[in-house]
Amino acid sequence: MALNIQFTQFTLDNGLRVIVHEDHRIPIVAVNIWYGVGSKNERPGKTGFAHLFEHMMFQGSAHIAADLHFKLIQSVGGTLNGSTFFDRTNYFETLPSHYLEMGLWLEADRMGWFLPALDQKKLDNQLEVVKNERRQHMDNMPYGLWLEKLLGLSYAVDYPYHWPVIGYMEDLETISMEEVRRFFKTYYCPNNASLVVAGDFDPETIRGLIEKYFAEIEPGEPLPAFNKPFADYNRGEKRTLVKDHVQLPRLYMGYHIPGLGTKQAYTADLITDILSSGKSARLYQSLIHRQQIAQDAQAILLPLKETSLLILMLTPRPGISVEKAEQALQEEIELLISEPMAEEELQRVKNQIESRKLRELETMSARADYLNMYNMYFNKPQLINTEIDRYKAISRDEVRQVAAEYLQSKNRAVVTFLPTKP
Amino acid sequence: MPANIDRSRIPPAGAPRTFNFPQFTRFESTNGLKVLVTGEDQLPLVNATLCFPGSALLDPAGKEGTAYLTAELLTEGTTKRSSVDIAAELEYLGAHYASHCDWNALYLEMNVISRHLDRAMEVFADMALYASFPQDEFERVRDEILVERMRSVDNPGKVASERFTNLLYGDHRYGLPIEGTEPSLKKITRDDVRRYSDRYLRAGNAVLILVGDITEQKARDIVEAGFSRWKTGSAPEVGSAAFDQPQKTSVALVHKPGSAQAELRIGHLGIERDNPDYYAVTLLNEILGGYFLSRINMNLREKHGFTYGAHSVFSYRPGRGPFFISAAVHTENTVQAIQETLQEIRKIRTEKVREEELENARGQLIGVFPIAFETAEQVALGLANIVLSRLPDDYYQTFRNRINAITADDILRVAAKYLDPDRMLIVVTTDAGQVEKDLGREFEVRVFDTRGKRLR
Repeated sequence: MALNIQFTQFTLDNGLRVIVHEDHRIPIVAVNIWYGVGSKNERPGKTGFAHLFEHMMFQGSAHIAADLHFKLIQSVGGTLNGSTFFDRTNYFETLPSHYLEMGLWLEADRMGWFLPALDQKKLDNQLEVVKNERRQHMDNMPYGLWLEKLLGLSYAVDYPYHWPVIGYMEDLETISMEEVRRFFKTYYCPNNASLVVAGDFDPETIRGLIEKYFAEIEPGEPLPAFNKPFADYNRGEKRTLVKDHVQLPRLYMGYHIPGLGTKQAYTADLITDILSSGKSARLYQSLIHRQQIAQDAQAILLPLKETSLLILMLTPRPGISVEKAEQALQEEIELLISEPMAEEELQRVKNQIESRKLRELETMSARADYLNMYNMYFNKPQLINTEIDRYKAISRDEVRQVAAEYLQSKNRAVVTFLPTKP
Repeated sequence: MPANIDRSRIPPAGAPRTFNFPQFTRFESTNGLKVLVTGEDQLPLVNATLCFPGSALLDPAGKEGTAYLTAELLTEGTTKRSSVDIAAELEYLGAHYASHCDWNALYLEMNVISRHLDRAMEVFADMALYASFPQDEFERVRDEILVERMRSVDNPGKVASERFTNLLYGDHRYGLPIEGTEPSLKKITRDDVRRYSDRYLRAGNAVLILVGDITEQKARDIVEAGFSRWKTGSAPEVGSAAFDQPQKTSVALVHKPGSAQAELRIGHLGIERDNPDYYAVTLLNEILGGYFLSRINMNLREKHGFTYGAHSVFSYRPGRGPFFISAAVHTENTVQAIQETLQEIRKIRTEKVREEELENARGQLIGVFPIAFETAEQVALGLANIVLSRLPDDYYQTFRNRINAITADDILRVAAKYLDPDRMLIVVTTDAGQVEKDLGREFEVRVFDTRGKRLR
């Protein structure tokens, strides 16, 4: 069943790209903005900046008092948030549709008039909030440092995926007001952003409404294309041991895969489904169900634009050594390379992907976010409907080829967690 | 280029379009299976949820975790399909399926593309009616749950929540984790699971909820084809229990060495779901800690930076569910975060909430309606709530008017009635070394290890 999410695109004179997707099933509207900036735009010693900045974007702007952003949206039943990733930062709200204009006004104000409202006190407060966010999600979470450790091992110290999005605790302290200002001026300009409005709006007036609030925002200096090609595929295995307050060891392995959007990345993504999508998947069937050596096992593709990582995670059952568990996992990897998979298995995985993509697009908020992702990463919002064909076109041979080329021990970093002695 | 606009003025709202919770139909099969169905003009997906009320409250004494284990095993084999067959068949159709339980019910659920609905529902009904609980699957799944119990001490939030409910509910079933404990799980046999299933997983105690790309006639056909031979059984009685509030405000400090933060749970018993003050309490909670703008979040996060976020909840289940505030705070701010929280509770029960706060919270609860029921899964959850909480069918039609009727005086009254800062159970999970003394200056403190053993 081909998806058919209809949309219209236009670009304002200041460079702001806009996509509108109309759907009147429910009286709600999603407003979603992606800025082309993430933690990869930071540098060593200043990590965590993009994410801390995202927090500041909820602290008011010239015409909007500090607590008003949340207040205006939540008090009419809207939902809102923002998130920072390696390659982008997004801001989004879903509103009862008659509040669309207010949503556009709020987003435009912080895009165009953010700096006058900035003050040191707000920055100090959000710095403490972010430090607690880091403690809650990483430092005080079992195995919580896994991604930080894996990225640190996988990429050279000056490669922009080396550090975690939330940043290192010691770097967060060093962020100054002047740097916040410069960061905003560099990256938070209409020509580095993409706006999606999805849902219940009047198609006759939507363009005028968007122009009313966004057109007068001054464009920033053109940004050079981000260019940090990654060349370190298959350059040798890296390993580290980490002690943590946990009962069971755990293994994380990250394999270098070309960047999101490449044929290899689509194939690698499909390989993660072969390995761990549902209970028919290989890691579950073999390691958890049949051999019963793993308590849990999972494969994911970390979707990074410049170069991505296929990550395998496994927790051995008590009494199973981490070496034995790794050996069993290794056998599954080698099976992908040595044995052609059954056509039926490939078809099942494609069916699972197709249904999942459909489920993911049930909400207006998700549609808006995906349209922005395809627009910002590939300049092809139509991928929302057609991306499934990229998966469907993958053959059994291609699965083997990608596995053979990239799932080599010399192409990976391995982080092994071991329990601290009580 | 548009004319200059006055950006200091909030753009006025347009004309609202009405939204209502979808109309649904009920019917009952001759064997007593209740069915709720609502078709929606949206994506070609169908959500099926089968609920069995009672759940872990029906666990045999000493064998806590039986319902949980039964739920986990529903997908692991039937008289004619192995767990491998079930996975292969359903996942080839792209279906997502799972089973689980909470304090209200045991659930079997599935989401599938509508063109595969018949084939998927055949497997779904097979799991519901003919789960066979094979011995090897029973042992594997029980072992997995035992491992989860063993490692539950890794997670500071889970440790704090478990200690909180254990101290609050004592010997009642609610005092132990829903998945049971190591000793109770070890006592459960395959026969216990079969007995549980034979008694409680029956048509007369089941509600099937179908939402999405489906008609009422299609739902009737599915029920006739898959569920008509199901034994009736009967709805079990879940006895009622009376609980006591904590005697006085005190701290249970759970010593978790090496903690990078402190997990807080502060609260006591809440109210029963059929309490007529439900709507006033819902608004009270919203203002106190229910959403980002709430007093406790604005205080602990936005004013003090003690935490990434703080929330409060009145949780509902048969009998009296708990009321609690949860937050993960920087350990050095533990005492102050507790004091600020208690202060907010004292304030809300002695001073009327401001009209603006009331309107904001009311606006959120009423306005969020269309966003809260956007997907088939959300609608299915809404219907399950009607069934499991025994609400009238027009519950979602009248909800907004009832919330609109609540006044600041109502909130003051229910705050004074249902919140008691002098009888709060405070659980702190962190490295005791850092805060034990500080807490001891303000509160009576008991210290536990992460497995619940009293240390001092």
